[in-house]
Amino acid sequence: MSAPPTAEQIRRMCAVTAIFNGLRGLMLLPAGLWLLAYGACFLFAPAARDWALAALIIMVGAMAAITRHYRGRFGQVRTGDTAVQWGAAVVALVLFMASGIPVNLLLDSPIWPQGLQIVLIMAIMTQLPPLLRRRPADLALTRHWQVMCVLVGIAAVIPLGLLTGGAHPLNATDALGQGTMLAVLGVCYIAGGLLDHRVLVRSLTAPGAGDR
Amino acid sequence: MAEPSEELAEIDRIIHEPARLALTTALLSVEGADFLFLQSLTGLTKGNLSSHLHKLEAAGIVAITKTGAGRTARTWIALTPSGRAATTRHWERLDQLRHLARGNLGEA
Repeated sequence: MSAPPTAEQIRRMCAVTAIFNGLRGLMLLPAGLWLLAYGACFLFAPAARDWALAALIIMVGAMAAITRHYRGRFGQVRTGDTAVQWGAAVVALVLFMASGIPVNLLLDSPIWPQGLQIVLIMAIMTQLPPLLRRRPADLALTRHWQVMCVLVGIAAVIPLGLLTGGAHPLNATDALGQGTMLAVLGVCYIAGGLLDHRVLVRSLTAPGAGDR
Repeated sequence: MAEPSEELAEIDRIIHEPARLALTTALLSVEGADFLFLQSLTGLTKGNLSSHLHKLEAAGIVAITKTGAGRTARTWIALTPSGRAATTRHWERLDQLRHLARGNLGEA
């Protein structure tokens, strides 16, 4: 710290500390890549789905390695919000399951309701925890997730079905529908994870090896 | 109504030092953090951070605990209940001071 921090810098430090664990974005990359690969299997190579399931082990191993990397580079924070994180995950799961009913009813519609399900999951997982902790100002660091929710949401409500003269082309319960949904979620995880990591490295300075 | 000079006299000088204010404010948002994280956050050198933390520990504002051994050794820092209250109170005083200063500037 060469110069005294400004009030704005202190506010940012506080926000980064509060959501440090969520900003370790590289941890989302293995999950995102796996979702993308599994979705691609649905779409292009159904026989390879068993291999993709086996790759779950590699994904878990990669996430553990990335956790160690973050611990060694930036240290650790005990945020004390495990209950909030689990609460958000449960809410996301319950709403995802519950939204399956209206999604099935809308399969003949010109919009893409499964895209709205993706928005629902992303919004709850990334935006709900700071709100539950009564720290809405922390959401300023995760604007990229808000932008992605809006973009996927817009893509979902564009009535492409009107152009094709029927239902939205992605509205299907078969491989096309499931594969597309997984692949889109995977791409969002990868993009969001990389942007989370960018926020983190811009906010923290990894100490040199000689100064640890 | 208090004068800005009276509020200023109440300022906790241990917490008010910029680096220590950054440390205590960051710790206010979580249960605790390790030494490496606070070093990454503030950009302070190891010696400088250690010095600030020991001053805060001596004042009863933070508690420092060591866990593990060898490569897994970690130094954890957390605000004590009184340190949490002191930091919150300090920000309230700064806010009051800002309001008072704005009021005085408006009257001038």
